[in-house]
Amino acid sequence: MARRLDLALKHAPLRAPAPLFDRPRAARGVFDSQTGFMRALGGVAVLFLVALPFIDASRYTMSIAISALIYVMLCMGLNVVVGYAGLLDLGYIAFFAVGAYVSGIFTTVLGWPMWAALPATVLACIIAGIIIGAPTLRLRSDYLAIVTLGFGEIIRITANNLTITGGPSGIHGIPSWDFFGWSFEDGLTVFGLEFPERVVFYYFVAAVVIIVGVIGAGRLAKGKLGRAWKAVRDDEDAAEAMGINTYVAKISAYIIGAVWAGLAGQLMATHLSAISPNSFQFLYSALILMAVVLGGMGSTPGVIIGALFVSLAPELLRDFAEWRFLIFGVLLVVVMLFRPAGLWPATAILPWLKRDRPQPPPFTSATAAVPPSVLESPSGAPDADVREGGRG
Amino acid sequence: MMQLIWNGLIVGSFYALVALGYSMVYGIIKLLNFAHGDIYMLGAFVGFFTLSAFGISNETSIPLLLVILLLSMVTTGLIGVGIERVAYRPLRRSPRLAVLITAIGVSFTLEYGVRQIFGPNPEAFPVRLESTGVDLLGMRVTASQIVLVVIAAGLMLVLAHIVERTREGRAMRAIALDPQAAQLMGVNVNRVISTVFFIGSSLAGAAGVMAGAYYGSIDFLMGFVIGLKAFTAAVIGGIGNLYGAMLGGLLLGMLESFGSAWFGGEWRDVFAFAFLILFLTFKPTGLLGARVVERM
Amino acid sequence: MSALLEVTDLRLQFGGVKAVDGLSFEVREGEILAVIGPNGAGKTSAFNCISAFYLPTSGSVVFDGKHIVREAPRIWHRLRLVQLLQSFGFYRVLPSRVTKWGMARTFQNLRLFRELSVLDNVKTAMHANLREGFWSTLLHTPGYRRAEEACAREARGWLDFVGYEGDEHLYVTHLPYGEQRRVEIARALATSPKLLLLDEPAAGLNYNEKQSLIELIRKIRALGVAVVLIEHDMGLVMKLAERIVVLNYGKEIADGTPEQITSDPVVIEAYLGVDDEDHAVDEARLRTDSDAQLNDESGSRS
Ligand SMILES: Nc1ncnc2c1ncn2[C@@H]1O[C@H](COP(=O)(O)OP(=O)(O)OP(=O)(O)O)[C@@H](O)[C@H]1O
Ligand SMILES: [Mg+2]
Repeated sequence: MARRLDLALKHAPLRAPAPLFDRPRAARGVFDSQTGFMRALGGVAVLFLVALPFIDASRYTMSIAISALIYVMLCMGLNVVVGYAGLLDLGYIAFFAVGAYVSGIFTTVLGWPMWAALPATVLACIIAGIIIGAPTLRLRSDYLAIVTLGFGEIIRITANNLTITGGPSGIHGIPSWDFFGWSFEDGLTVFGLEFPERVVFYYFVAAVVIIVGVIGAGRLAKGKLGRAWKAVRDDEDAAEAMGINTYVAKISAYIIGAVWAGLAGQLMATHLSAISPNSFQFLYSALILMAVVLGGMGSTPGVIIGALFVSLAPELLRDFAEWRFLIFGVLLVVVMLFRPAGLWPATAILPWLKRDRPQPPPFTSATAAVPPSVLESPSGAPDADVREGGRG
Repeated sequence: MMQLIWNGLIVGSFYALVALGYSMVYGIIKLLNFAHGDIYMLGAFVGFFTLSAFGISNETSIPLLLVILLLSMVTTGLIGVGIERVAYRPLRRSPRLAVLITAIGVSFTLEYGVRQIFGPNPEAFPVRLESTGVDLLGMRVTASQIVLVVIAAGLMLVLAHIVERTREGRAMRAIALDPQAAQLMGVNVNRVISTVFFIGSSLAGAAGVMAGAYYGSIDFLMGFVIGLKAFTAAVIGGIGNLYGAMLGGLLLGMLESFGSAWFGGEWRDVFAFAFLILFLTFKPTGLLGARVVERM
Repeated sequence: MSALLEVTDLRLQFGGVKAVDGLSFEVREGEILAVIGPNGAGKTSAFNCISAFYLPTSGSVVFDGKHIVREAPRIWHRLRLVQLLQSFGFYRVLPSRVTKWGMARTFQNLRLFRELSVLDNVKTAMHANLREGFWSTLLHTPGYRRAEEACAREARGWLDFVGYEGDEHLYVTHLPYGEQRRVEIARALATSPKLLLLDEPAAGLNYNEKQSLIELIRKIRALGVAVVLIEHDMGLVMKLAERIVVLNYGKEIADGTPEQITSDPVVIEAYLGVDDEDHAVDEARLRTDSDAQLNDESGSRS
């Protein structure tokens, strides 16, 4: 057993002595472990997703549900960048645009089938992620924020000015998915169930992609890569000292965020069958960021709730639609001031799971990473400074 | 050629005024104040509101412009101080990410607050400047442009005087270097930061009024792009460095003016942001910024 | 025995401040070396150069036969492009690479990952030694599960080794200061180092905690890991160190065994002042003051 485990590690000159005493294994039940509870919650959510078309399959509902799902995908991607790796990306919608435009151009201009455009989309997003991340991720995080903002504008303006992207009016008539002569347009009957409308079927495709996206992002966050991201977010120097190449860690988070957004973009292009530069304004980058922040950075359930809130609120509260951006702006400030970890913080432990479980740090300390000092200074070494002062 | 330079100078002086506030705030508390561009927009709207309240429209008087300019500067200055007090000060010890996000929230609040009040459509700015021009050294120069450049230069001179010669200015420089040490030396850090916000915001407000008078129309999103451009200018000059911000603003104005002449006006913004990325890649400290080793 | 770490004529300048000014010493395999000196003497700066966080102005650092400071060709110096190239990763070694070579360090002011649990903090340090790829993580392959299990086991092993007996799922910010220090050492050990740099590991610890720290450092040494520690507590230094390097104003003023150091007039002068006995008292008071301050802070932090 121990040998088998040893093989799972690379050769290293120094191994830890065997653990001295056994620690209790983590509980696995639904109501006494965080993981168990989350899995159960995820199961319920999936059931609901599957059941929805049987409850209400109207074109309107399905259409809203699909856009909500696309928002969820976007938010999960941005959550990797902002929530896990702590990089503020203000031009996230640009990757969404890259995905949408690349799939749109490949299918309409070049006439490829949609599935063949998929690898192209992913590749384009990876390249875009590297182009924008490589120069700026070496710098301080706030530079990244503004460069991504500029990058978002560059993409939008470029799409607006080029002829291949259809200029201001965008691309029309993007085909739906089709496989070997059968297309979504045709509808489908599976096991006696009829999917007469394209939208309904498309809903299921979107649902599957999003479920995979959510689970995938969650899994990445739990492994070696995810730990590296969180380490970089908490303390970049210390992460570097732990043998993590922080540049690589940051760029990988950035690329994964880009790919998630690109997939969402392709989903949207096929869903709406038309795209135009106006759907990729800074406003939407900010909306996605708000969803992530409101829900709770780094927390999967929180981010999903945030995404649903941001995408569904204007539909459910029509009167509110006009005011929503103002309200979102105020909310953003209020949340950051009073509940920086969001509605469902990543460190939340539900009350009934609390029994003999460690308490999460209060939300202020969860984000207030700087020891008491007069100001946040770039030094990060207030102790040393105070003592130097005492020396003179 | 001369015309391009002159046009660049005009646009550049707007950039420089906004970039100064960006740079000052960044220099002192290392915060990218995303809402700074919106203060510029607020300045224009404060002017618009006051003038409309007095029923003035289509005026071309320079003294009136100066009065409005002063009024807007004071108002936006106070708004800037208020924003710092309410939104940024409580977060001073929080990680950067939290403060940046708050700044975006503030920016959104200002933009859409103004939209809720004045509506989404552009408004005509009530005071215009004459656009009769004279030919000078092969370029067309209008009186209004000269007024703008003179006002901008005057404001920058005043600022330079404050920072270099006054007690407050010395305190600002001290805090920028080492806030803890400054506090230990008895500097009232909070007050100085408020002052910086006041000065920075009033400069942006002044730029807003001037832009309103120069271009003639204002809208609630007018601060977004100029905020980005001003940041670019501040980075080109070396963020945190005041002369850098001025230099960067003027330089960016020129670059844009040449860029649009060569590549076409629709690529102007792309050109400017591409410059930002290039600068951050190859010279992140900017032209005048000093290289600092970040302390561990 | 051969030298594990060789520092030759290391210099580091911040503007006009010569933080490190011609430091040379070597660390042999498996020995405990202490670096001492008054506040601001440049000890931490020297550590930062050795672990590649700072790029020294000049000098060389060779660890385990590998150069940590890389010389850029003359031409780049002349074109003033060295800094640009270094910022792109040329002519420099990243700290993470140095850690992979087998040098681990702790920080003067605790730098744990605040939003990770104790166990995850230590697991994070095993980054470089873990066989986990992108796809295996996405698909949760058996290989991934095994790697995660091995990683957890190893991390627990280190936590036990440093004597951390609390709950491994606690967030580190909830631990008392002394425990946090322990976790930080466990984290450094989990990178599987040959050389461990400890920057004031005893700062802010009480008497008992200091005693167990001494035990711990001896245990680490017994594993064959060389230890370099910066420390102000002379009692602790005298008990542990086999050799001592003394710095003052960035300059190395002495290098020798504890006995040699305590009787070296230059060191006594640097530490206690030239003639006046009162200085000694002042120094001692200063020391306890700063310790008390640290204790206060750790109290409020946890
Ligand atoms: N990043 C930096 N920029 C400018 N000066 C620095 C920087 N880091 C350190 N210094 C200066 O270098 C000198 C040496 O500092 P260092 O932290 O190495 O001292 P030390 O010996 O570790 O002191 P202590 O015992 O207080 O930890 C000090 O004067 C300090 O102010
Ligand atoms: Mg030190």
